[in-house]
Parts: sequence; C-alpha cells; structure tokens
Amino acid sequence: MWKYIVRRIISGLAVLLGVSVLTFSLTFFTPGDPARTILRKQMGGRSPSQAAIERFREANGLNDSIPVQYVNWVTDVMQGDLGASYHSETAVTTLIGQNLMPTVELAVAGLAVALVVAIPTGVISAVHKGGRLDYGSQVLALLGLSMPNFWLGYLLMLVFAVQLGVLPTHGFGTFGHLVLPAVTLGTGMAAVITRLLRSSMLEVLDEEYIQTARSKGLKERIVVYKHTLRNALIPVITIVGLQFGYLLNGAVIIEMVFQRPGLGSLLIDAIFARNYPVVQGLVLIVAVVFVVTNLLVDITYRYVDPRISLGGGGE
Amino acid sequence: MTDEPTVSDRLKSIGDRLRSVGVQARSKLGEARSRLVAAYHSRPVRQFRSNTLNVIGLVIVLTLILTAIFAPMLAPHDPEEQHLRDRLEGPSAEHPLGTDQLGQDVLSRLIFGARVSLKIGVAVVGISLAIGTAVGVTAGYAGGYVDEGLMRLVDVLLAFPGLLLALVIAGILGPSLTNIMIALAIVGWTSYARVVRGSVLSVKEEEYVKASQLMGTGRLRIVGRHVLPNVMGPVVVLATLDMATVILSTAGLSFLGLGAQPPTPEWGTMISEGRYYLRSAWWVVNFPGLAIMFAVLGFNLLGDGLRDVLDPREEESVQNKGL
Amino acid sequence: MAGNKLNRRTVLKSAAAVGALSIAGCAENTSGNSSGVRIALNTDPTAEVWNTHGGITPYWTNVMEPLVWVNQEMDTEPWLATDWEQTSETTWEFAIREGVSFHNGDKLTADHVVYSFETLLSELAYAPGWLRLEGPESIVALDEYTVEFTTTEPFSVFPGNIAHNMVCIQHPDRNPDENRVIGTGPYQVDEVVVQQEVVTSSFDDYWNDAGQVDELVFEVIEDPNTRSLSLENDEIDIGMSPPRSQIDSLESNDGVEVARQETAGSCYGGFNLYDAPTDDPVLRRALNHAVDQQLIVDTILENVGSPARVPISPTIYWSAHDQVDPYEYDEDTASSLVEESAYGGEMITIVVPNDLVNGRDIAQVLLDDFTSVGVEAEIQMAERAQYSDLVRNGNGHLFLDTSGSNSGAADYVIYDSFHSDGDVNQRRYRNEETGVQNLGGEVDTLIEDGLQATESAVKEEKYVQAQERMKAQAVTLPVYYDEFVAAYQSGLEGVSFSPIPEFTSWTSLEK
Repeated sequence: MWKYIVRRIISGLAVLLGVSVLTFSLTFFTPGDPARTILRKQMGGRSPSQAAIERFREANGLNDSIPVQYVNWVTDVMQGDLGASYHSETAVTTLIGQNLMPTVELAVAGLAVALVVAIPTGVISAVHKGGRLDYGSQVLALLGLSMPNFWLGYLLMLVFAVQLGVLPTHGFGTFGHLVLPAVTLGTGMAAVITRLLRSSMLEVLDEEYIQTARSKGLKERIVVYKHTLRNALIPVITIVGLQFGYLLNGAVIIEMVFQRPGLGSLLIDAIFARNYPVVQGLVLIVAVVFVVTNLLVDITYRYVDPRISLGGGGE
Repeated sequence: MTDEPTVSDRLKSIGDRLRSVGVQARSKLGEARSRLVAAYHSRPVRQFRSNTLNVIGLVIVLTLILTAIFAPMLAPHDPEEQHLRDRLEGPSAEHPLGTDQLGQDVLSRLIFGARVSLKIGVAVVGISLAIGTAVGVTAGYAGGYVDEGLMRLVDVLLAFPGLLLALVIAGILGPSLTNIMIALAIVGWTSYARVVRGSVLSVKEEEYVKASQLMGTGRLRIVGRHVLPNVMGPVVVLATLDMATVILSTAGLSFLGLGAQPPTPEWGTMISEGRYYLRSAWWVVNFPGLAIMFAVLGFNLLGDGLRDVLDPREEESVQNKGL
Repeated sequence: MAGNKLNRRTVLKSAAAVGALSIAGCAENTSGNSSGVRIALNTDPTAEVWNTHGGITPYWTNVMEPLVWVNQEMDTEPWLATDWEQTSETTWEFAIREGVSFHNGDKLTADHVVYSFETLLSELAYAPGWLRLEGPESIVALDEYTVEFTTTEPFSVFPGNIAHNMVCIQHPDRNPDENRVIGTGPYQVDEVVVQQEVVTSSFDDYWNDAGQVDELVFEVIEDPNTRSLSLENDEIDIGMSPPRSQIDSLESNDGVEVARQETAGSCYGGFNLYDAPTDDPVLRRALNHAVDQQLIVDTILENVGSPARVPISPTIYWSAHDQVDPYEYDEDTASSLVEESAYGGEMITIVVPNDLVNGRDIAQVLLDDFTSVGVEAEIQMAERAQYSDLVRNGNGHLFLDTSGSNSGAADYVIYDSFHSDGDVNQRRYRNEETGVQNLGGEVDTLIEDGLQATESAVKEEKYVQAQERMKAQAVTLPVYYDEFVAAYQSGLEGVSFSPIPEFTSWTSLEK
C-alpha cells in the first residue's frame, strides 16, 4: 500500500513537472512580446518606446534564455513563490486568492442547479425506461448541454433581467447575481449527470436488495427514492466532482458574459495580456488540484476495494 | 452456310448477354435488398430503432451531412455575397431567415456553415482517433514503463486546461479553422487513448488471444485481428459524442475571437458576432444558435443510441461540454 | 463503506454552502442605493495596472487631477498648475496652485508634485521615455509653490504631454495594498471592491466647482452587450460605448438618452509600402477609390462617426482634413487604375486586431470592395499582441486599426505611425532600411520639423504638408473619424464628454 502511494506521488510530481514545462514553453513560443503588450495596456493603448520595453524586459528577467528563465521559475516555485504579475508586482498567489472564491461559488451553485435538474430527470428517466417520460426527460437534459453557453447566457439575461426585471444582468456579491451564471453553467452539466444517474439507477434497480425491498411490500416510491437514489448518486457525484477542468473551461465564458470575477476571467485576461507569471501559476495550481484529487480518489478506492488495481502495469 | 454469325445471331447474343447481366443485376439487387431487410430486422438494428430518440438523432445527423454535401444546391444565395443596403432584414420570401449585419443571407450561411462544422468535427475526431488509438494500443499492449509513461502524458494533458492550449496554439499559428482543429485534436485524443487502452487490457486477457499469442502470431496481427474489432464499439460511440463536443468548443473559441477567419460562414462566429443584434435583429443570432443546438443534440442522441447497441457496458465516459 | 461516507459528506457540505449563500444573498439584495449615479466603464477601474495610482484608475473617476488640463477644444488649460514657462531649451518652471486640499486635509505643495512625478518615473517602466524626464534631478521643488522640470532633450510639447490624467498629483500616504487613494479631485474614494467597483463621494473642500451628485459609483462591465442590457434593466445610470447596433433602439427607448462626442481618434488601414503588390502607389490609389466610406458609416457604424479623408482626426488642429480632396468612391476609376498598376493577381492580406470594434465587419466590406475591382484579398484576424508583431514585421499588406491621441499633445499620433523611426516602422527601418507605413525622406523631415515647432501655425504647416504628401502617395486607406457614444438614463442632466472621453469631468452632472 505505502509503496503504491509513494509511487503515485512520484508520478504525480512527474505530471506536474510535465505540465510546467509544457506551459512554460508554450507561453514563450506565443507571438506577441509581453513587454510591449503590457506596457501598451498600461498606457491606455499608446505604444511604448524601445527604451521602456528594454527596461521592462530587464526588470522582469525576460532577457535571459528560456531554460534559465524556467530554472529560475521552478526554483522560486519550490520555495512557494509563484512570482508576481507583470502588471504591478502583485503576487500571483494573491491574485489567485482573490479570484478563487467567486469561481468556487459559481461551481458549487452550478453543481446545485445541475443536481436539481438532473435528479428528477434521471430518476424519471430510469423508472420509466423506454417510455415517453424517459425520452422527454433525456431530451430536456440534453437541450441544456446543446446550447452554447454564451448564447444561453444572453437569452437568460434578456428574459429574466431585461424583460421580467427580476434578476441583475451582471456582477457579483448577492444571491441574485449568482442565479443566471449558475443556471447557465448548471444546465450544461445537468445532461452529463442525468445520463450517469440514469444508468447508475438502472444498475441499482437490478440489485438484489432492491428486489428484496420491493418484495417486502415497501411502497414503490420509497424504494426508488430512499434506497435506489441514494446508492445511485454516490458514483455519480464522485465522477462529477472530478470535473474541475470542465468547471474552469465553463467558467471562462460565463464569467466573461456576466462580468463576474474569477479564475476563468483571470486566466483569459492573463493569456491575452501575455502576463506569463499569472498564466503559469494558475495552470500549475489547476494541475496540482487535478493530480491531488485523482490521487485521493484512487487511494480511497484501493483502500475500500483492494481488488481494484489502478496503478497501471508493473504490479 | 457460313461460320459467320448473322446479324440477327449477333443481336440475339447481345440480347442474351444483356439479359443475363440484367438477371445478375436483379439478383444482386435482390440480394442486397434482402441483406438490407435482414440487417434492418437484425437484433442490433432492431434494438437501435426501438428507441425513438436514436432514430431522431440519426435523422438529425443525416440531415446535417446531406445539407453539407449539397450545400451549393440548397443555399438560395452565395453565403459570402454582401448587400450592405439590405442589411438586417427580417425573414422574407427572398431571405427565409433574414439577412445579417452585412446583408448576407442567413439561411445560406447556415447551410454552408454545416459544411464548416462537419469539416472541423471530422478532422478533429479523425486526428484524435488516430493518435488516441495508436497510443492506447501501444500503452495497453506494451504495459510496464511504456504504459506508465504514456498514461502520465495523458494525465499531463488532462491536467491542462484545454482552453489554454487551444489559445496558445491559435496564438502561435494565428486564429483560423485549421489551427482550431489542431488545438482541439491535441486536447482531444486523450479520451480515445484511455478507452482503447482499457479495451486492450481486457482483450489481452481473453483465452483466444492468449492462445494465438502462444501460437506465435505477431503482435501487430493480434492487434489488428482481435483488439481493434473489439475496441470499435466504444470508440465509435466516443467519436459520435465527440463530434458534439467539438462543435461546441469551436463555438466557444469563436466567442473568444479565435474562430474562423471572415468571411467563412461558421456557426459559432455567427452567434458571437450576432449577439449585438439580439435586441434589434433576433434572427441574426438565434438561428445559428438553434443550428448548433440541433447539431449537438443530434450527435448526442445518436451517440447514446449507438452506445446501447455497440457498447452495452455503459462506459462512464463523462463528456466535457466544450467551453 | 468509507468511500460512500466521504461522498455523502461532500454533498451535504455543498448543499449547506448553497443554502448559506442564498440566505446571505436575500439579506443583501434588499439594500440598494438610489441617491448616487452608477457609471459602467468597459475596463476595470481597479485593475492591477493602477497600483501606481493607489489602486484605482486615474481615468474617468475624477479623484486625482493633473497639473494641466485638456479642454473641449483639445487645448491645454491651467489646472493644478496656474502657470508655466520654458526657462531654457530643456527646463520648465511650473507655478503650483495655492489653496488646494487633498482628500485627507493636507494642502498641496510643490513637494507633492515632486513625489507624484518620481513615483510615476520609478514605478512605470515607460514613464521616463514618455515624459522625457529621467533621474531625481529632473524634478526639483524651487520653493513651496514652484517646480522645475528638466527634460532629457528639447521637448517643446512638454506641457501638453503632461496634460494627461495618468500624470496626476497624489498624496504620499496613498497605499495600493489598502486601496487608499488620496487626490485633490472633486470626488474622493469611499470604497474599492477589487474587480468590481469604486464608490466615490463629493469632496466638500474641492478648490474648484464641486460635484453636484453626492455619490458616483464606477463599475466595470466589459461585455458591450451586457453593458447595454444592464442599462435597459436600470442597473446602471450611464453606460459607455454601447454596441453600435443598439444605439438606435436605446435612442428610441423612452427612459434612455444617448450622448455623442467627437474624439481625437480615427480608423484607417495603413499600407505596407515596402512589399509587393502594395508597394505600387497606383494600386494603393485604386484601392482608395474602391471603398465607399460613407456607406460604411451609414450601415455598419450606424451613423456613429464620419467618413475619413486622412488618418488624423479633424479634432486635432493640424489635421489636413480640410486641405486634401478625398479619393472619390468610383468603382470604374478604381478598376482602370488596377489595370494600369503593376498588380498581377497577388493576394492582399488585410490584417485586423480582433479587439477592434466592428473591425471584422469593416474588413469584410473592404474585402468585398477590393474583389469587385479585381483585386484578390483575404482577412487575417489577429489577437492584439500578435497584431503588434505582424504590423512591425510587415507581415501583411493593409493593417486596419484605430489611432488617436489621449493627451494634450497629439504629435505622437503622426510620429509613431508615419516617421521611419516611429514605433510602427522602427523595427524594419533599422533592420532592413525599409519600414511599413513610412514614406521616409521629405516626410520624415516634415514630421520632425512639426514635432519641434513651438508655434501652432508652424506645426500645422509642417504636419499638413506631410499629410498631403502621404495622401498623394495613398499611404493609408482612411475609413472613419471616431465618435464616442454613451447611453444614460434620461433623469440625468449635464452629461457631456471630453474629446478624450477618459478625461471627462462629472462636476456638472445632476440627477
């Protein structure tokens, strides 16, 4: 067991190393000089002088060769320093800290919306397998997934903010501000959860103890909701919980449309502004979260059910 | 009497020959027809069409493909022809879905847009599939350190926000359809690699595969004969669902300004450029939105249907909804 | 099973979090502010780049003020400096206004001016080159109310150059980490919510006419569509730059008014003068004749802005707009000029940055116009950072962009784009002795003379001559002169914008 964990941790570190090399090299192959781009932004669209560009490059170590820059960066990261934004020396960790909660809030709310939609549709779908209700709820769940996020966002804004005037169009802070972004994100996830829940329900419904419960004469509804749903939901939640990358991808566009602060908008602004320390730091953090959750899930599974071998070959 | 065949003989022989060709053709046709009928009544197909949703999905996808193929015949106008003075006109007999901000016919752009979307979808799925299969087979078959290394590479890519990669690639090469395709394929192949590797691992343990291995059959041969046919099912399902994801991702990248170069009629760009007309000219933005919605819905329904038939193990391949 | 428990707990936690949020949300939702005016900008007023200014933008907010002001006529006007004088080729003496209070009660003195300039020079890498000031000796307080500036080179437009909101005067107690901003403006900062908004209130001890609205809130809504929808939804009182397509519907909306203001900006395509086929002036003239600017303004721009003849907006006094004849739109002339030219069917690449408002549509119209006179063209949309590279490397034939002045000295608008050593052309000029949009020779000399001229009449004469030569050689394809538009709730009075909209003063605003 310990040997397995150690091996996984080492390979996890290897993944992080790979991610950092990839991010670093990609950002530096991108055309567009960060010095020029950032100075231009600071100057409100005016072009900076060559001397200013040189000074900026010097101050931010951009004149070193890429391998040297990479080694410097990794050394700093090892000491817990993710560097500072090119814009104003704000520490990358501070920026991430400022933007983390809004995205987590959006993600949790989006997941809640997704579950509110997916649980009834998934259950109805499984219970009425092959019937009209099954088809209807499947299509309903898929419609949310099929609409491009930004289109759905604008439509919701038009209806609920402009026409009905019940919700704000944009911003951050109150529950009202969270509703439309969460619905936009949640409808996309709902289809996936419905699909998983349906098949998970069908599987559980076949299990012996459900059959036993039924034969004991418990009311059908209690059987379905109390026993089946509870057991069917567990694997579903686990899988969905791992979709961190999806959440970040989804958050980019939703945060842009609804003018919410968050990791998604932080990332996209940093990419367009060629603010590399922010891009590298953020990607590394995302990768760490991914690697750690994966590791925890794998270890938990292994602990629970030693028959599962998830380590790949070489056992 | 002469040995020379008379004209009538000749004609007769030609007639005979023609008749036999006809008979042959008819019997071939009959054979094909009965094969089709048999196929139509075969278990998998019966199973597929027993679900109305599957049929709806198939119809949507077929419509899409036919639209793409026959676009020049179906479109009432040239999709790139501008009439600035007739811009933003509502639906009419001349322009059934109205005109956009440049006075281009929205319907014609949608029809040609089907071509663009399918082209991107097929290219991305094709490249992803090729890379993914190669990596999956290698990893699953070789095992050991090769497997470990390749799977960690997959992890690296999965840990990487796909959008970032797509953005950077679009940045390096300049925003264009080709670069979107490359970016999405680089991000997309990992799921195929995982599915294929899983199948290889399970097939590898089968008795008959072990047997042919013992008989000294080459590895490549085994892969071709036993492994690939077994992987086909889940991969086809994945590819179908992936088409939907690619269409959505392309739309998302277009929204971020990394989409097709104008004047290419691309659905995502049409929505993102048309969003300013949401209040004043709803047709400019909502018809492309509906087009994407139906296309994605179609591929998802078809994919689900194919899964029931081809991959009854109910793979838990969670789809990442594009962007 | 252990795994099950773990997951169940996660679900419960998420549910609890959502519940808590909803309760908190309901409580907050009841409090709205009705007395103030909410102004939606298209950029974040609390963006990181503004740390030099204490954490909020010096544009728009009226919290901090410069020494010299730019008025409605794009002319300089005394502000925190009451007077100035050039004492030698490179030295300037500025008299600082007496009796000006900072928001913390301190009185403005020359030391504050020195502090503010030194802060800019040390924190912003480009400031020394931009202001032509370098080193601690370049700004000296001669007495309590006099400051002397020593420029690195003779710089005749120094006062106009510092007539810029970024060159504003702030108190040394400002602190970007706590978002503490201390200026002298008519509004002082009450609250800063990072990435969201800046709340300001009228400053009672303001030296000039104080603001009439008690509270101004500046918030960011980057997406133009969301911005105009939130105006319709009464969430904001003023929204900058609504999408052009929505101006009509906003104007026809009873509760909403639209303000327009000509700006110093213009949109034009600059030709690559050193690569075939656009190295041929005949072809460039042909392409100029092929485009109907009026139609573009009437349709795509929805009548915001006006058709351009030269790349310099007529709001700048030395624009040659009135001195040159436009290339009349005429397809036949254009086609015959194409015939006459050396053009042999090559593909012309129109390069467009993807953040250029309506750039995509304008480029498509140009492409259509070029095609109809027999010239093949394609469009390359590029990200802003990538665009900067493409232009400077001369990768393309026509570079479409906007350009305009955002200070009292507009000289750099012509220098950067059309002088061989200007920012756009420098890279190729130095490496290959060519360039991009620079005719070189006589035009370079004229631009240099204009830049050094201290008298307006001389400057105008030199710059107009340079523009006339560029027009004759069809160096650019001018498209339109920009106009700034903002939409506001009709309950507001006194909404008017500066030709540099970012420098707008809100003191005349009433609700």
